Amino acid sequence: MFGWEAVVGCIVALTCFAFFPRIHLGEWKEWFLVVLSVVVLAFWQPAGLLITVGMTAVAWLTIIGREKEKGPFPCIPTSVGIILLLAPLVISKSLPWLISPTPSVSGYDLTRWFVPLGLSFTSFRLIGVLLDSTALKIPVSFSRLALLSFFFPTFPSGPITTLQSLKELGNEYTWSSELLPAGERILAGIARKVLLADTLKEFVIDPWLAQGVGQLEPFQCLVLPVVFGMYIYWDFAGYSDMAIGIARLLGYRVPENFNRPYMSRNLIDFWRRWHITLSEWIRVRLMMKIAGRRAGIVKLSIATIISMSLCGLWHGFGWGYFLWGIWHGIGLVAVHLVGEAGKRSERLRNAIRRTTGAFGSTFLTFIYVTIGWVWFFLPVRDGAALIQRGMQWRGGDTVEFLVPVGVAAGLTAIYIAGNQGKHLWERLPLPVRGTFLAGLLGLVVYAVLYRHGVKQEFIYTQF
Amino acid sequence: MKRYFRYLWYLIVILLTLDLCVRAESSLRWGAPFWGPYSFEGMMVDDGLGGRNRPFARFEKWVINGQGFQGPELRIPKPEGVVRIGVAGASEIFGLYESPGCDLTSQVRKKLERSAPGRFEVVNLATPGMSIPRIIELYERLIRKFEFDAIVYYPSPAMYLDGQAPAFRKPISRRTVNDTGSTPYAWDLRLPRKTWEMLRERLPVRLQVEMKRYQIARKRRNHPENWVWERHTPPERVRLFHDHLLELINTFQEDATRVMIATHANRFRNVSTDMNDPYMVGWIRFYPRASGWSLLDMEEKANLIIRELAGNFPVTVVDVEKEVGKNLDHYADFVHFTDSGATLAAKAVTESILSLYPYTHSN
Repeated sequence: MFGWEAVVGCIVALTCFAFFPRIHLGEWKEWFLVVLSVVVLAFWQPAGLLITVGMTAVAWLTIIGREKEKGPFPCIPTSVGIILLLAPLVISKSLPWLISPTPSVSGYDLTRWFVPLGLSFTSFRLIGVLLDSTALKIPVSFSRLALLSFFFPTFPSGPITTLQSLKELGNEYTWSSELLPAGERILAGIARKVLLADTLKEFVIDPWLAQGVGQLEPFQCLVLPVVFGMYIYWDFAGYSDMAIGIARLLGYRVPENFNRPYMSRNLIDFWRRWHITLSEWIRVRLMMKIAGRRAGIVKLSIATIISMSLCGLWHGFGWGYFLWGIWHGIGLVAVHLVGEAGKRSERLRNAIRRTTGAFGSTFLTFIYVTIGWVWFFLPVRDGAALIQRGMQWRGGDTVEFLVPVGVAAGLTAIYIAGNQGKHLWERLPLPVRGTFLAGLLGLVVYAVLYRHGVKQEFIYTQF
Repeated sequence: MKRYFRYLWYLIVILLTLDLCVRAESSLRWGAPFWGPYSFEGMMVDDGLGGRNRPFARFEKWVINGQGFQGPELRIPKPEGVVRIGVAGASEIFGLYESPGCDLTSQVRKKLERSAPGRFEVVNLATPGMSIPRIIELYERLIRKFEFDAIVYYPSPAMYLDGQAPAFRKPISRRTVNDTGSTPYAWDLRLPRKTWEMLRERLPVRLQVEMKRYQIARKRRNHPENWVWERHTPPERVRLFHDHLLELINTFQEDATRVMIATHANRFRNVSTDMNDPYMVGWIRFYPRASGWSLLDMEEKANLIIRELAGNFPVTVVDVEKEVGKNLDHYADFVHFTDSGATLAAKAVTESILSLYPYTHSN
């Protein structure tokens, strides 16, 4: 995934853009990228591609079924279309529950062969097209639908694009003008993934969890949830950076997926900064549909908890994911209730501001989100044991004291520097920025090509 | 123009960063010096008569002790009751591809320690490219004083198909012989070697084979057609192998050192292996005068000579060829062992040693 096939795909696309300017024009470009994406996906996972083609056909038949001229094709009602698009997702998520062990040949798990990469994302993209084209009355061409379905940069793990959010870059776009900014974005993404996320996984998460949660010291139990949180952020945000950068190189803007989520002041803010495209999808197409128009506080709270638990299950049919979703649902409801109470009482509002302040609310939100990661990464029993053991931390010897304190100090430093970082970067002279990026490129090339560590897949490709 | 200088500067930064990363990884992984010279070639020194291990050298998993061997340093005089075994040979025994501690000699040491704790000392005398004349010369000059009870020698018959056959070299004067190996070696850039290793892992096998074929063709270019031994193993080279081996036996036996000679193993089942086999092409690249046919024929003749000499002289044959067999999992390339291959070879050597020096708990 994002290996040589994606690199060759980009080179082919850019070469064609350079030598065949006609490809830049409207539908030509869409079809060109559709064909290119299908070829790349065929290398990644040919059997899964067939299922994706089938799902795209179902979406198209649902869309044209609404047209007055029905033509020779059978028309599928929208509700049936949505069910058919959800079916592969539900079946693939429940397979490990229904058939255990999952079918394999010579140790190779067959489900990895035909369950499409990024199935969760494809389902939501196509369902989003059906709902948006109905609600917003947006015309959909087949080339547009196919591009949304197959576009290889966003195919495996998002961002979840919609009819409105996948935008062609304007007339000023040329592939050469986008080379540097897109390249910078791609480099940042790879750096986050291979230098930060993979290092955490190889040197902290895997060795610590290899012994089992029961063997961990209290300081490790305290630090591990933070490590989980940083790992998933750097891995997924790194992937998103690469997807956005590659899409930009090919002339398309895809929406941002992360906006410094750990700087959030409350959980509602967190979900506007974390996996932005998924949370928007869940809020607009699920939560608001469940709650209905002008929903009261009770109905809204129930809708929130149901939506977030379904969000958890979207990641996988497991108690851990379900619990994670519920955890966030309850947190969102609590924040909403406190917010509503604060609107009615200025005294309460001031009291909250006095006791927590900006740093305090960010800290509390971070702690709440970090605890949630325990359920996301570990089986429920292990997660409970980890939290219980972490609460037994009393300092201990030098290492046991310094590691959690060091991690806390590091996070505090990042919080303080966080807001200044971007401004500082933009104020640096170009040669200095270029030197830094060149050094970063050297580190990334080393980590990708020269290091003998275990190659880690992107975490969100499993969803 | 300014822009091009800037790009050149960025390229330098990238390369410097890569080199620093290579140094940092070797330091963390192998304890390598961060700034000093550090290379595989730096472990060898030419002392005027040929290559041997540089004392106190280290590179990645290989550690050479102060006496120029791999393994524990040996006391002089030899402690009472200890059986001292040396294992000599070229790169097959030096250990190229095995995991750390899994080369043949290390495994023999462990097996003997398990069977007879404290009774045996085992050291690795091998140097890549060590020929029979070279081991004889080193024995006479440097190894003899350690009073080995037995030396296991693993010959490399293919050396006798090189452009120039192995031969004894005489120093021009005593001063050209450098016993300490203290000649400083040039500072090496680490990135090129690491880049080559990385490319070898990633380049398609077919491309690598083509590159090796090209190198073979280049080496053969300036020679007449009959220079290459296509279907012919020169009898004078086979005879030379026999004579050198005989001299080795006589030299060791002068000191009552027991001689154990191993048969040579290789991965090829078929004498008519052609130039499409990537491992055969890799082997011929070292001996461009040979063909697949002549290499395998030389191996067969050499192993026959070893068995014949054992019949006529007090020499123990260690049948490594039979023990390792032709299972491809045991070979990392044409002749060098994987961990499993070294395990089987070590088993054969250990059994032979224990048959010569049986151990009971009362010993």
